[in-house]
Amino acid sequence: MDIEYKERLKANAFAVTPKATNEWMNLDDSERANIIRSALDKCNFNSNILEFVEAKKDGQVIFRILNDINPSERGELLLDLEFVLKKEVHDFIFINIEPLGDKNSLRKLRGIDIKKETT
Amino acid sequence: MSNGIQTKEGNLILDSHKLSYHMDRVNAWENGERIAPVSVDMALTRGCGAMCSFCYAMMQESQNRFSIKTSHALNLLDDFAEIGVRSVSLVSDGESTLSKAYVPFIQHAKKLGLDVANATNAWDWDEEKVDQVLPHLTWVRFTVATGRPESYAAHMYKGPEHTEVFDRAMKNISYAVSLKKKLNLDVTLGIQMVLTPDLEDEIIPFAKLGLDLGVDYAVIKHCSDDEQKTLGIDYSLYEDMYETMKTAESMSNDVTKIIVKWDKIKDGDKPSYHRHFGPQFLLQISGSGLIAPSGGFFNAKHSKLHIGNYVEERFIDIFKSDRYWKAMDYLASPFFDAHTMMGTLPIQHYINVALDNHVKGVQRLKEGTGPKPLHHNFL
Repeated sequence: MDIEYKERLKANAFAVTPKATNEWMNLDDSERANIIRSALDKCNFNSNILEFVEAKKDGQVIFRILNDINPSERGELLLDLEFVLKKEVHDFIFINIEPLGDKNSLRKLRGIDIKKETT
Repeated sequence: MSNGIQTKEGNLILDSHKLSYHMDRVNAWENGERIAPVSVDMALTRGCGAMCSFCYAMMQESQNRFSIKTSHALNLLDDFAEIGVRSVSLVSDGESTLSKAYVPFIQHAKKLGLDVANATNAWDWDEEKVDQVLPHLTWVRFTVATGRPESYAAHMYKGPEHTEVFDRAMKNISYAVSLKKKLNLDVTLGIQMVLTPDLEDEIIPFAKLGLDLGVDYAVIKHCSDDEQKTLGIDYSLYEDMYETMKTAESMSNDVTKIIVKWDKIKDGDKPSYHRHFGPQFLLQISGSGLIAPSGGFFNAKHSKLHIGNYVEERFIDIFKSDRYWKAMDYLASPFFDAHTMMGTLPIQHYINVALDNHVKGVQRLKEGTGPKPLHHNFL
């Protein structure tokens, strides 16, 4: 039995997810954005594929996909980028893309819009 | 967690999990092995002719929808069998009965030795289709929003005047019930109500409908919501309906069990776990062909957890890729918080609770003993 792996699973189950610091939350939108932009400049960020949109108080960094990225590539690309930002900025940083609404014409009649903000 | 409901055909577990019957996978996982999912929950299309007010698929739009051809679907099943998947259910994300691949998919799954099941609104599940698939299915669960035609049509279609959809569904469900009896099939047939706090008055009519149809069970479950609360589900309001739900349960008879998913309803939006271990055991695949660990991550928002699309490449290659495990490892890491980074009560909820308790030493999973419960390959 791989005791080391088992212990890591256990430690992970108990671990607390890094949360945004007060210092980060007290910055205004443009200050947070500037920190992210300078971190992106350092890591050869490909602005032809992704556009930085916003850095939220809770550590969420939102991007927009400019050119369709194949599903076999986009996940790994974004996870790698998240880990770069965790290293360059803070470990509470996490990435999301702008959400997409339902394309089903019938269901759309319900008028449900994906909320962008966590309540 | 509950132990299940005893029926004439065996122990029916709907409000818990069946990991105890897959301890080989649990032990391998705990040893750090890259395990194949026990179950895959998927759809053959994103399309659907209904417009259910409680539908989570409204929040699951990814960048592209690929057209899933029968050959893609059958290759997928071959890959499932090759890596050791034990069951596949056509449930999430779209109405699979509308796909041309639907009948061949079910027949091929059974031929490969995979247990196969389906959830459907039954609107397009005519007698010809039922005849071709029912003998191969382990269970079929019909989405029935409410027990009365007008409210059913209001919650699942354009308005209360469109009761023709209710009539069509009841006709097709009744046919399946009669065919099961006629051919003495092992399949379990149930109806499901997705309870939202505004539907308390519909609980008893729904239970009565289950009894009238003569299905094996009528289950009442919570409504899931995404992390932004797009559907606006207030879980604190479920408690006001507990007495009505208990009354519904007491209406069970020898043929039809009325079941409430108490554990999920009570857990609401405050799960006991923070990591999402479950997708390694119960994977979800979108009706767009997209493979992401869980349905809550199909939306473009969660693109970092998009692993691949089986229309573009073979599933077995995706499963064996490092990117598959990168996504799974992320969900099992401290960087992922199930309380804030995903929707409520995912399909993996029960196994998330069990695996979390297992690794923490709160309650270790043990090998199941005695007769296996019904549908033991569906986690």
